[in-house]
Order: sequence, then structure tokens, then C-alpha cells
Amino acid sequence: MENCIDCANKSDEEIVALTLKNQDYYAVLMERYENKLAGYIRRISGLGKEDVEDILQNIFIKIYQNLQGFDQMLKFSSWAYRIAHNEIISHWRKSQVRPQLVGGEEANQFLHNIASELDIAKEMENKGLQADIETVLEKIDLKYREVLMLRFLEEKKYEEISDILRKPLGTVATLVNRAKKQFKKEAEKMKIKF
Amino acid sequence: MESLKDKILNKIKSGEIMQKPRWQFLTKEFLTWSGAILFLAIAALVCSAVIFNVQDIDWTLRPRLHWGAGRFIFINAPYFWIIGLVLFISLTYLAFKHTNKGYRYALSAAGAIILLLSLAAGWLTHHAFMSGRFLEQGARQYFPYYAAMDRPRQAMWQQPEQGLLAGEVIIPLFNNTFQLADINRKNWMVICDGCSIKQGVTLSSHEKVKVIGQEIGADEFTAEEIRPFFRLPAPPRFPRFNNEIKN
Repeated sequence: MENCIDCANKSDEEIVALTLKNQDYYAVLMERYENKLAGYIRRISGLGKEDVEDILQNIFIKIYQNLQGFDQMLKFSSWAYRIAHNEIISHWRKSQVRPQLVGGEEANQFLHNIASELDIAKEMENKGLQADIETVLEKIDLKYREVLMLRFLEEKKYEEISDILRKPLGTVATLVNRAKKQFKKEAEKMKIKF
Repeated sequence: MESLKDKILNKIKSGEIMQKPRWQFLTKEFLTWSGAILFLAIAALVCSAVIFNVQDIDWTLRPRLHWGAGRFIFINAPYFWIIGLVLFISLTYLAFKHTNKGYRYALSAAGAIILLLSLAAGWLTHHAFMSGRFLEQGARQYFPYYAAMDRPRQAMWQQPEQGLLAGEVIIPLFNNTFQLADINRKNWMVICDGCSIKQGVTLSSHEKVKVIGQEIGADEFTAEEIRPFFRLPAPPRFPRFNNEIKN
């Protein structure tokens, strides 16, 4: 494993196949997904650093435990996000912590991605941007909020969201549309201009 | 401080975290598919009972009863089997949805495919084995609530004043007369003087028949036509049963 020089050129799915033969390769997968999944957990769950680490640890353990059941027809990232999604939902149900949502640079990225879709006035210099997005997203149902995050922050394709949430493609498209409408409606209701 | 990655790798190496074996995932998938196929097979059988009951509806009675089409359909619809069909189609869909790729199919598409498969397999078993009739007879015989649910449909044949009577032959035909116990277990003397006896009717003991005619007394009825209880023919006899009969 220490000699895995060309690991960077290998796909996630190839690393999964290698991990099944040699457990040391699992470190490569963890390295690739540690920051991505930590960010995803933080944005959805609104938990602090320690709790995020706990959930992330559970996710990596579950991924490893279920690695033999990984369907090679799926993208590994979709499968990993699905496990993360289930773990977050399960934790959220247990603790009922109110999500704190996006902030900082992520707010800009989120707004940039969603603005063109929503056809809303975009004022990237708006200083209250982060607070405004948080306020609007807080009013949106969890199922819509998550789908907006996956689409506009994680920049996942519809097919990937379908695999992550285990919902048909049409349902995902409907969810995204409804989520956009609800976001716009809430923003207008609260007289927030982006 | 130990990083998360190292912490997990150490747990893996110490055997604290183990991979679930592949056979567990394969077994789960196999059982889920088996469940879906089993529910689909039951849905198909229930569907054959629906087909049997729909085909068994005697539309020639509607003018005699002076009922509108809506009322006639409402009374004759096989609700028990329709509810069963919806239930088993739903169970098939739920099991299918839990297979590895089942979630990718929308309810409308998967539901329509399952319904079509049930209809096709139901139609096939209905024509090949008369499975619908077997189920109908079985439900009448062994499921007491079925008879209660089916009462409005049966009551249609419990109108001697309208010339409709159904029940079980108690005393077989002799001298153009036989005795019949109707659905409410009331005994009737039925006179068949030149009446039309449909194919398949033998008027032997315990045979269930439907009679169209005229009430001529408190417990007397003149038959114009005697029909088998079910319009559709009996299920085909298998050689084994024929041998048993011969013996």
C-alpha cells in the first residue's frame, strides 16, 4: 500500500476492488472522501466539529462493513453519499438538531448555482447574503433543503441524486423543481432580495 | 493525535471492524426478489379470480331486474378479489422497490408493469387451470367472511318474486320435481315441467344451481330455466382424479 504510487490515477471503483483484496487501500478512499463528506454532514446536520467527526467515523465504518455489497454499476460517490445521507437522517431523528446550513464561501457558491436556475436578482456583494440564505433555507422542508444542497452545492447530477436518495429520476426532478419554487417563494415572502 | 483515517484503519486491522460477507448481500437480494415474485404470483392468481367473477356476471338478468347498468355493476363487482389484487400488487411493488435497482422505477411505471404481468399471468392460469374458479369455490367454502361480503351479489338470486332463485339441490330430480335449499336455507319444491336445463346441470344431490322461473306458492317454484351456479365450465379434471373416480 505504501507503494501505491499510481493510486491517484485510479478511479474510486478501482480502489474499492483493491480494498477488497487489501484493506490498506481503504485509506485512499477515506482520504478522498473525508473533507467532502464532513462538509456534507456539517451543512445538513448543523453539528459541531466533534459531532461531525463522530458521524463521519460511523459513515466510514459502515462503508467498510458494506463494501462487499457495493454495486459496481453505481458510482462509488453516490453510494458513499447514500450511506452518509442515511446516517445523517438517523442522527437527525435521534437528536432533532436544527440544521445551521450553509455559510461563508459555500453561501456564495450555492447562490451562484441556484441564481441562474431561479432567475432571481443576484447581488453577490450583498453583505447579509449568508444570513439571508440561512433564513430562507431554514423555512424550507428538510427534503427540499437536502435536494437543493445536493444539486447546487455538491453539484450532483440528477442520476446521482436519484442513487443517493434512492428515488426515481422523475421524483428527483420534481423535488428539485418544488424546492426551487419554495426557495423563491420564501425569499419573496420574507422580502429578501439576492 | 491519531487522525480519523488511522483510527479506523487500526480498528480494521485489529479486527474490531469486519466486512460483512458477500453472501449476506446476495441472500438479501435473493430473498427480496423471491418475495416480489411470490407476491406477483399471488396477485396473478387473485387476478384470475377477478377475471372469473367478471366473466361469470350474467348480463341477461339486468332487464329482468329493471336495474340500471351502474347498480348492476355495483352489486356484481367482486370487491373481495379486487381488494386482494390491490393489496398483492402493492406488496409486489414494495418488495420490488427494495431490490438493488427497484428505487429507480416510478410508482406509475412499476405499478403498471406489475398490473400488466398480473393480468397476463392471471388470464393464462384462468384459461389453463380455471384457477379463478378454484379460488372462488375455496373462498366460499373455507372463508366464512367471504360469504358475508358476497351477500349482496347472492341476494340478487334470492328474489323468488322476481323469478330468481339459487341454492343447493336437496332431493334430486324425480317426476319433474326436485327440492332446493335456497341461500337462506329455506326449502323449495321446484317443478321442472319441460323447462330448459343448461349444459352441465345434473340436478343431483348437493349440486348448486340457479333457477329462473316463477313463484307459485309459499314454497313452490316453477322453473323455466335451470343453470349451473357458475356460468363458466368446471375446472378440467386431471387424469389422477379420473382414475380415482373410476376406481
